[in-house]
Amino acid sequence: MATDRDPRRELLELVADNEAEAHLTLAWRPKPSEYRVRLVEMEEGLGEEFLAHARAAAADLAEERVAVAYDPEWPLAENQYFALAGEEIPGGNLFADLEDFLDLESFERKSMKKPRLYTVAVQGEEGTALFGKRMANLKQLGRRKGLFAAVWDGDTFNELVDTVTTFSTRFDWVLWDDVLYVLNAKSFHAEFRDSAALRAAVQGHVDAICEQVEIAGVADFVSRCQSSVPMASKLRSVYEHGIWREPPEKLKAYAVERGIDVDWDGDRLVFDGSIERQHAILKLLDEDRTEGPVSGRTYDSAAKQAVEVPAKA
Amino acid sequence: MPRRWVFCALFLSSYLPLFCLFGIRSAGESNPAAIACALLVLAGAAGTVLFLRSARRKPRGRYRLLAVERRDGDVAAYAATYLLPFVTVFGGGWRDLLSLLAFIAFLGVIYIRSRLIYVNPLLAFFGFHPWQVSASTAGSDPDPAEGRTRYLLARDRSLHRQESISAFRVLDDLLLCAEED
Repeated sequence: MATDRDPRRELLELVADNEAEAHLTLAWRPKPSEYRVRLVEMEEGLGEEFLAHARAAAADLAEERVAVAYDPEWPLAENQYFALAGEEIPGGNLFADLEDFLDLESFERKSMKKPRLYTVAVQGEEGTALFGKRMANLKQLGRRKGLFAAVWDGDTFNELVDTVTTFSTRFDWVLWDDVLYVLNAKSFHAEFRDSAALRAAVQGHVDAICEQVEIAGVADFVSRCQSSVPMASKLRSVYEHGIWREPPEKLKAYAVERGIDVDWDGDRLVFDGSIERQHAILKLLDEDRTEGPVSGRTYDSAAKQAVEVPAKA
Repeated sequence: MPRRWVFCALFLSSYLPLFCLFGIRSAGESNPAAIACALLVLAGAAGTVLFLRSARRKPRGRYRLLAVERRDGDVAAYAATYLLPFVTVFGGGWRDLLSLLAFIAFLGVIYIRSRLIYVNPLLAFFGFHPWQVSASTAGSDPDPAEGRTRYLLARDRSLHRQESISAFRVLDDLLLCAEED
């Protein structure tokens, strides 16, 4: 019998329960996709603070956001989320270690070095939900070589003896019931996107595309795409969903019709080494300029979601 | 309470009966030794209370027990030391005091390193039973062979494999079972 389970509503109930307890873990990344995670002991008051933020994030996810299909190029809005499951969930050993977070070693002061991310594990009767945040934009204040921190108590400055770490009131992702809900795509991708793999895939993607539509200056085009993760990601999007299999005549007509500034040498696209031409080629092959059928306006749509439209009756 | 203070509190607590016996035996023969023992008894009592109070302020989590073994028998390891006041002629001289302190310190180091310090006779007297357990986060599915072995102090209750419990994580390898309301 089918059930009307709503995992996001269940998450909200889990964290809202009075018996729910929040635990904090910090994670470092010595190598790509290899995390070292430690459990941090917290005073009760701080645990309540983290729990309050987790409750706010769960409420936001359950009541304010709608799902969109995962696309690394999609600029996730404040009212949207991606849901990843199974093999789609990145992070190397991170989530496997976090699953048994109470068995992690305790964080010790001597290993105080700025972590990559922190996770608030909220444990309740029905399971554990993980709320994660990347720490790149958060501060850690303390004495370091050439620097010291001071605190203003209202009258005087005093040197800060202990290390202070700042935390956010918001989270980038939530893992609940084997589904990873992405709330902040930019931070999520900055942490979990496998940049090395993306860059390594550039040559293969370009080779495949060039079998259909040649690019003059292809070596420069490859190195340009490899030098930037967003460009490598865009190229992957072109490779997976683009229109490069279409005949050159059709591509030429589309470029002229939509004002995409690419140069042709016969049936070959020409890359002159400029960033503008690189963008134009990718824009063309990803069919980024589209026409609104009602207004007739031309739109730039770097991020697109293909949808199935029901057939007319 | 940092790790070293937990060990210190448990150390004083576990030797409280010994200090008590020595104090009684030395009373009348060496009043300074008796006074020192009385102070150590007070410190031991304070250490026990402090340990229990600070342990209950530690993070509380839900654990699933993968393996359990009752270790009440280990408390007997302390019984030998409690015989000390009865088998020695304690004159209260500095040599007696020094050798006694060296003996206690030596045992203390061994008990801390072997984690026998968690098998605390005073806590056992008040109903806390020591268990050696392998525990994982409730709801997780770890390899039982990889579970970390820890001591768990549980008051007046028995524990079973696969049971879920709520416990305070006092140290990485010491849990205190939370008493359910």
